[in-house]
Amino acid sequence: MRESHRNGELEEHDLRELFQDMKAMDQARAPEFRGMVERALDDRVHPTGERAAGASGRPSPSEGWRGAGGLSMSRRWRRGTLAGGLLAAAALAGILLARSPGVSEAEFERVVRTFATDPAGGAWRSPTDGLLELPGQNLLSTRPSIGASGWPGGLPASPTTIHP
Amino acid sequence: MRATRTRKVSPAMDPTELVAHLQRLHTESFGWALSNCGWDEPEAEDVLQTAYSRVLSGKARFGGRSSFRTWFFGVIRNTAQETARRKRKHHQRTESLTAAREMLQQGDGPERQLERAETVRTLRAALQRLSARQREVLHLVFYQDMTIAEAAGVMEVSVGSARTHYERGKARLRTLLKEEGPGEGIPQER
Repeated sequence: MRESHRNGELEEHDLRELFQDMKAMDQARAPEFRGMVERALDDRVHPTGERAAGASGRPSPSEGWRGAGGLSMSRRWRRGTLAGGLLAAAALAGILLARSPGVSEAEFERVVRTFATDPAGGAWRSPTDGLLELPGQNLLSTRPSIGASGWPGGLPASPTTIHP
Repeated sequence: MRATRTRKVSPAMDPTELVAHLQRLHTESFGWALSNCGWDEPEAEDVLQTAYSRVLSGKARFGGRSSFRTWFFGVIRNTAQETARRKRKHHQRTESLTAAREMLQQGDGPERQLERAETVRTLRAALQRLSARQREVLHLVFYQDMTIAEAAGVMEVSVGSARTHYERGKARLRTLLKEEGPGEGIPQER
């Protein structure tokens, strides 16, 4: 019992020593803090989601110039170009939409109506329109009004009225 | 060192104070990032810088519910997991170059340097064969000198669960290291 306890202690001690050896080696390899913070602050000012290059600022051995997301520079470039194009198109659409409310719909309709009906404004009329006009045509196209007759002394007696 | 870890940090801190805390933890944070990235150095740097970026941009905010270190290690851990999910392809590890570099950076004699580098390489290989939870808890306890409760906080698991991972991981690691044999520079059971 005592032996196993002693072994347990030694085991922990040995493990800790091994890990501390590893720690000493890792610490010697640690990158410079200042440089990393500066790059991190750069990321904060120009957040891109994924950095253009690795944090170490050097190509990783197996992947060349790649960032945290593992994207190559050419892919980043294509993605950036596409995003730029979409942004420009969106901006153009925005400008057009923003400008259109300046000419109101009612104003537009008024201009079109005037143009279509006013000969002075350029409305088209057929040269043979006059041939279709008949005498008394206005009687066919207007409605008689009731209660506003031109008879003096009111309406004449109806022919069906019987006088004693 | 312990004082640094247990230092109380106000949740509402100014950027200068924030950077000072990050700087104090920098090498430990890098070690933790390395462990989370399978000791892939460029990836660990990416992860750590992304974690810094998140903290400095305010995307990750310290709420004061744990120590600053526990919280920031959690940020690193989450960032590493997101990176691992995104990346399908792992970097080739340059074991021999790393070992040679490590050897040059040590102050011991050449034989001892070689032995240490080889020992660490064996330890890393063994750790890679553990489950992620076991690897995490062993790293936090033995490398970062955290208590199991602190490690549980970083791992976002209960203390009981962390303890189970710790015990099982330790036993498994011991077995794996024994498999390597006495010639590998790993301390053997005495």
